[in-house]
Amino acid sequence: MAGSKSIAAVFLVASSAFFGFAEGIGVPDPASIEYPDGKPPSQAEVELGKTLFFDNRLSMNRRQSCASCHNPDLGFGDGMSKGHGTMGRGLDRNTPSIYNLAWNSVFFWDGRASSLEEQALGPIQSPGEMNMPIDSLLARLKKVAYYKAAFERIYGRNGTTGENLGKAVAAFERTLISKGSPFDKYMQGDKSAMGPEASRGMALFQGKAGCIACHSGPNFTDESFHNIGLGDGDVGRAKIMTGATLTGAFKTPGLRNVALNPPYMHDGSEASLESVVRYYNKGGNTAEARDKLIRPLKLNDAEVQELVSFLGSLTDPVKVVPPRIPKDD
Amino acid sequence: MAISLGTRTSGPGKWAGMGRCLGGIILCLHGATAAGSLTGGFKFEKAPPSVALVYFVEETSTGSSPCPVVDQKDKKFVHKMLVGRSGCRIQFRNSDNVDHNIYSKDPKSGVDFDAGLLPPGQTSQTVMNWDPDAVIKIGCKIHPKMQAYIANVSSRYYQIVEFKPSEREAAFTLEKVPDKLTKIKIWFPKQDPIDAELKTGEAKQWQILEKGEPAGVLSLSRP
Repeated sequence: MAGSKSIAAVFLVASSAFFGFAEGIGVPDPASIEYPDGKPPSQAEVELGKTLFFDNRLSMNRRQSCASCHNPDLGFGDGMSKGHGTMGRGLDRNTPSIYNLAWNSVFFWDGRASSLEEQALGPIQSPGEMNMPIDSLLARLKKVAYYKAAFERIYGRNGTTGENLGKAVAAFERTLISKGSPFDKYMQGDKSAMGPEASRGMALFQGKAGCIACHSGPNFTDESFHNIGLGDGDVGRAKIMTGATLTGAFKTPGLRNVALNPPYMHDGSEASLESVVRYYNKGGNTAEARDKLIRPLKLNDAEVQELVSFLGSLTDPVKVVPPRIPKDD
Repeated sequence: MAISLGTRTSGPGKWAGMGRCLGGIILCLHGATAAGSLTGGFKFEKAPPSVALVYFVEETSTGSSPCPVVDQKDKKFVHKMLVGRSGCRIQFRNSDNVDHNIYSKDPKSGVDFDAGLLPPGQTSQTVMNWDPDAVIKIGCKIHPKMQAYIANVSSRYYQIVEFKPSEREAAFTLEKVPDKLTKIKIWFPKQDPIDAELKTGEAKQWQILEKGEPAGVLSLSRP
């Protein structure tokens, strides 16, 4: 037991030496969540947000809800390389997972939203996604007794507004917290929670493979933008903000429950975790403006499998029972 | 008149005897002709802001103050807030081992600059040319979690108070303030700014508001 601890400590130091400062990986602490109102939302607000999240009324043709793409049975993804909108149109990017967003400060692959509330309203209104103007949606919701009563009870008279809709959905999304994985148990002292292969993978993650340079912190993301060299022509962050290093750069996704939501990368081009690790192992594709951190890792086959095993140890599904969707009056 | 450079101190030890452990404090002391102190305390109802700026309004400030040096390390700005005055050359320094790209865009304050890509060890600078009495937010295009503030304030009598997220109270003391200065401004990133007036021998409280809603109490006193 003492030996495992020493090895972990050594690799932590090694990773710091190789990659400079990287926030340590660990167990997420709900006490550190910075809620917009300075305190957790009420249960009633969370329930309202959950009902909205699963309600097809949020799309123009009533065919899609938020949960259609962020399906809890598919790791809050959709299992496809790239998403599809409610009108059947293909989207440009892979559907991101939504675990542990309560700690995030920037949203979407390109970081175009700076709050979960803002993010929640984006896909609803996007013509390519749910294609539902907020005013039309509010009119639709006001005709449902449950929503009318819930909005007024939580936000006051005339509380059925777009802003409050975003608040409610965000309140629910902040409850999607995964912090009971084998990795978390291991970090809390149960050294039997991860097998030796995953333990070696964790050391590689923080050391030789250098994954921690970007996938840092308790949620395994530095919330920063990197061009990992896919070279798919998507300019990413550069569409939102000009900057020398932003062309083709995308936000580092968190890795909580990453095994549950293939395929991977912003373009969904990698089908499995093994293929992701092999992509990074070869040093990425040759793309302009590729981040200096992307370079050949010289991992052997056994080390590739160890990293995959460690990524699997981040699995702790969040069980969500779909709510009863209220009927029209 | 001799003006001393600002000094920075922090740590609970300095504030022992003033109540609870009171968060990180950055103190700026200036030599001045008259002597008097301002003591203050913040008490928030919910999570505190990251930082606050307290300064006395000087109608005719003749001194100079050091220009801010914005440094970056460990994917963070070294200081949450810095103070300078119009015409000052702000220096950006990258003491980190990753690239950064500082920028600020705030049309309301007339600021729009992009320091460009700043590799480790490099520096660049820009002139403080935005509205007086305005505080701007700066960020890093690559690392959006990095945020700090720069105030264009001509006052020599100011204090920056940094808050710990877990502590709702903080106190500070600003020393050697001329008795004739009585107008005080308090700025927060999210809460409404406060315009206060306080003469020597007075002690008052102000409600801190956020979007018009009560968010806390500010207590100020001058012995």
